Amino acid sequence: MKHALKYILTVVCMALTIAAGAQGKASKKTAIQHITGEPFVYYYATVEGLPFYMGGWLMGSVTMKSGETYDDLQLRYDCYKDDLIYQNSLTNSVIIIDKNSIEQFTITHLLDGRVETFKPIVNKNLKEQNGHYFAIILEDSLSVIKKYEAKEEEYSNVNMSQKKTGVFVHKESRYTWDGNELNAVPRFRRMLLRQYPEHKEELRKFFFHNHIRMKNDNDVRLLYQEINRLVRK
Amino acid sequence: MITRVLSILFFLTATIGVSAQSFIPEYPIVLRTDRSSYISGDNALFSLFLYDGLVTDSEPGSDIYVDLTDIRNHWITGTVAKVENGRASGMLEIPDNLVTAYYKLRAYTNYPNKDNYLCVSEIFVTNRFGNTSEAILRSHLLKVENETSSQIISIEKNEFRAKEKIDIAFDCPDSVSAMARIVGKKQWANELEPNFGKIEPFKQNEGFTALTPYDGILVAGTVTDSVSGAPIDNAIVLISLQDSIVRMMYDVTDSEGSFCVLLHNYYGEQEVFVSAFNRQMEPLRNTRITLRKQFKYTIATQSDLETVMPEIDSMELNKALIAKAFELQQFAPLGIENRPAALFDHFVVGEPRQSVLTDDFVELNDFREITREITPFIRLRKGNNGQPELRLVSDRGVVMVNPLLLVDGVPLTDLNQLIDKGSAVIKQVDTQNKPRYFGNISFGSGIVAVWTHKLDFWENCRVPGTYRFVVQGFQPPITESVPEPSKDRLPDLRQIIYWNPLVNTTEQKNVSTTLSDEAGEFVIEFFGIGRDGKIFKDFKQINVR
Repeated sequence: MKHALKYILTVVCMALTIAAGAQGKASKKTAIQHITGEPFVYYYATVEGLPFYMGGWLMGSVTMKSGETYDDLQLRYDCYKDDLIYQNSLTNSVIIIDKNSIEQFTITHLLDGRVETFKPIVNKNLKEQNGHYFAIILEDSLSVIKKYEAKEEEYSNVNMSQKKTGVFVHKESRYTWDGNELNAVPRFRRMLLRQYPEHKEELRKFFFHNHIRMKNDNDVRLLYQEINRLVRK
Repeated sequence: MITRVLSILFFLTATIGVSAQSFIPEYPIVLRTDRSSYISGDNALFSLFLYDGLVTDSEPGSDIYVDLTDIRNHWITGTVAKVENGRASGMLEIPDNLVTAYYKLRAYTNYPNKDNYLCVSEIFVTNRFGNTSEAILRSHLLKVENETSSQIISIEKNEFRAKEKIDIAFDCPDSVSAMARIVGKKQWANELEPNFGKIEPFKQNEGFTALTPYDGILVAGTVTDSVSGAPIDNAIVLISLQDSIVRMMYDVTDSEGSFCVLLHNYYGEQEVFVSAFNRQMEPLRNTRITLRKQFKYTIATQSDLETVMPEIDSMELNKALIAKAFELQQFAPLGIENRPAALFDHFVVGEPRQSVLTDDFVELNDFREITREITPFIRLRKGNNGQPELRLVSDRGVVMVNPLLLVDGVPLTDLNQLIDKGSAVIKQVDTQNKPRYFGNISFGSGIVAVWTHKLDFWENCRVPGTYRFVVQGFQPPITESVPEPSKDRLPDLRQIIYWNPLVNTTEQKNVSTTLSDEAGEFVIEFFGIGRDGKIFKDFKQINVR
């Protein structure tokens, strides 16, 4: 009986393989794509550290404003210049993708497989005319977004042996975004409660029950989900 | 027991294996027209039923091609219809100059890398001014057996007065693809049974298949050597439109010299410019670019035809004459709503380093003066071969030779065509004095984009190696518009009383329309195909006094 069961299982597996194979023949991979950009020029030789988000190349995808999505790309986000850089292994070139052609891009973290989505956001308060890339923490009527920045801090005494004039210091800040206004997420609970006096009690309870910390992305996401819910009510 | 289990499993295995293969029914495409005979210059309205799974809406090139040939298969005209949920509808304009004869109306899929299917129907076209006494040719087609398969249509009575309102109820299962019409009995009775067939797949560049599926115009063709005719491998083919912004796509030819792109969300007729370059983006001059025909031009045949005497309905002639004389249009095109951003619009040039408007300066006689006086990054010099050469100077002073030159969005490979154009013709010059990347190709010497005042540079410009083609996109859907009772007492002689090519049997159980001024015998017809291929058809005859 045991042998018969093994035999039955083998037959079923074979049948499923045939069926799957017959369906999978239609799709084909291609390298044709339409990302536009200009060459990346190495500019940070005299600065200590790297201007890139998470240091090195990360796998990710890019969705163009035109609707095309390209997956499995090698990407780097330059937090200093706010540029998305892409390595085209076919042409062996490193390209800064045109910001005004990008709808959004995602980056997959190597350690935990977490996918982070970035979008260029245009606002009059930003110095960049084509907008600035923000990581999306929460997408709702009131969204929560995160800005990664790298700033060069100049050394007071230049180390002549290494010819480094400064160091990249990375910084991140969270904002709320309602499609028009960009406001910093308050760093303290009391500041946030002051912003929503009509929901003060509900939010106070929410803070208490959920142990919300204003420095944690997940907590901030939960908090603003609740705020969006309360505002809609 | 084990033997029984095994036999059941073997049966199941066989069933799975069979179902995994694609099943195509006997009639994969069914073409129904509003009438069986037309007057030259009429519009032939059609409704198409496609077997579930034969055409996937989301797949590129999933349009259906409808064309008209003469009885010996000489191609006359064609149109492209958009497929949605396995259905398509539209109209084909029958040319005004057709002689009285039988013609073939064909509907077929035109998929890359797939078997394609067609349905051929025959229609009779009368020319108002032609000689109609001679015998004409027709295929050995049988007349449609107009039999009722189920009781679907209900009407309150069978006798009506002209212009009377008529309410029709359809008793049909949900999710049946259907069409309904009210047509003259003579037209209905003379319909011929269509033919069905299979078309061999055509081969095309694999690069196309992984594009995000969108509707559009499929542009496929080959690049060959103009002398030897050998296919050119690894050539970059740029496809562009003459427009106020750069709309460009590219493909790289395979070993057979073939390329294929989809102009996403473009419909109607479009003029495209196609030119070929090598990997260094130098124009390939001795090449021949041919576009794969969208419509299938068949080989003319002589056989399998019979001779018949024409039956011309004078009433049909009168109706066509009135429609023409009073410019009566029974059908209005529906706009295509919410057209998303076209994938064809790419940021090829990027943000120009410098943009110069010639109107801001004194009049300059030619392009040489423009480059000398007002565009500091561009230099026009004589090249080694004595021909003019364009150079771009980067911000760091590096001179780049032969940048990509675009005029009104189309690559210009012969600078001589532009040199004599001054500020009276040229409106704007954009300079991108940095290398630009576009997918897997690069414009290492930067880009110069020139725009003319009238955006008509290519109207009179012929450059060897730059080919222009007119390609056909799908037509906008149409809707019936029953004429309002007119105050000036125009006769309402509609050529078809009611036409609904896409009946939604889930929601549409009742329809109502008004009859025309015409008296006589009419037929209300319902034709539908269920998901299992079952045919639902019914007809009811009515008399109008």
